[in-house]
Amino acid sequence: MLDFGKYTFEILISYVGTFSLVSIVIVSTYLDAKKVKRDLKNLNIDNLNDK
Amino acid sequence: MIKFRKNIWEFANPNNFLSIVNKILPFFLILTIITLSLGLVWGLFFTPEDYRQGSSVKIIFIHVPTAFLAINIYFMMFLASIIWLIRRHHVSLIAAKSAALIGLIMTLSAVLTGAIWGKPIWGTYWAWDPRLTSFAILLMFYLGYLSIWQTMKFSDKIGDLSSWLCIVGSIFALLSRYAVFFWDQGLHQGPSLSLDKEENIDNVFYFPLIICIIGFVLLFLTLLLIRIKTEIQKRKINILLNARDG
Repeated sequence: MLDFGKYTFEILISYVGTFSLVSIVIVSTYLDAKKVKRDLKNLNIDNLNDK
Repeated sequence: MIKFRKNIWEFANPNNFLSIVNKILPFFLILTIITLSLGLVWGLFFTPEDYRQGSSVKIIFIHVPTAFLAINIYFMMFLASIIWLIRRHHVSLIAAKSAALIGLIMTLSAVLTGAIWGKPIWGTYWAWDPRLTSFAILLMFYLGYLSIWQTMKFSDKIGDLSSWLCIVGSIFALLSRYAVFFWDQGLHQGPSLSLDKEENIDNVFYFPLIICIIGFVLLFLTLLLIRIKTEIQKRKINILLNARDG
C-alpha cells in the first residue's frame, strides 16, 4: 500500500518528518494547556480555602 | 463601518477573547481533522505521477502548505506586533508570541521537504538560491524571536523588543514570498498556485492541494487559539499569585 515507486523513501520521510515536527507542537500545546488548567484550578481552590 | 471598528477591538479584552475561543474551538478542531485527513489521503493515494517529477510530486501536498504557512504566520506576527506597538493590546502580543513556535515548525518542515524533493529533481539538497536563502534567514528570525521569549520574562519592554525584531524580519518573509519574481537566476520554480491557468498546476493536483492548504491553516488556527488561551491563563495565574502573596 505504501509503495510509491521510485521515490517511496523520499515521500515517506517527508510525511513522517512533517508529522513528527507537527506532533511536537501539538503535544507541547496540549501538555502546557493541561498544566495551566490544573494550576488555575488549584489556585482557585487555595484562594477559596484562604477565605 | 464604525460599528465593525468598535467591535473588532473588543477581542482585545482577554475575557471577551476567551469566551469566543471556547465557543469556536471545537468546530475548528473537527474541521481541521476532516480537511487534513481528506487532503492528505487524496493527495497521497489518489493522485497520479507527474510526467516529469514522477511520484515525488506527492511531496507538494506537505511542502506547499507548510511553506505557505511559514511565510503567512510571520505576516500575522508582523501585524500583531504593529498592533501591539501602536495600541498596546496584550492579546495581540500574546498572539504573536503564541504563533512563533508553530511558524518555526512550519518553516523547518518546508525546508526539510524541499530538500528531500530537491535531491532527485535538482540533483542537490540545498542551493543558495534567492528563495531558499531568504527562507534560511526567515528561520533564523523565528529562532531569534523565540529565544527572546525563552530567555526573558513577560514584560512590555520585552514585548517591544520582540515586536521590533519581528518587523525587521518581515522583510525576509516578503522576500521569501516574492524572491522568485525578483530574481530569475534561482533554482526554485515559480508558485505552484496561480490565477493564470497556463501557469497553474493541473486540476488533478490542484484540488487536493487546496484542501491540504485549508487543513494546515485550520490546524494553525486551532493550535494558535489553544496557545493564546493558555498564555492568557498563565498571566491570570501570575496575577492571582502576586495578589495572594502581596
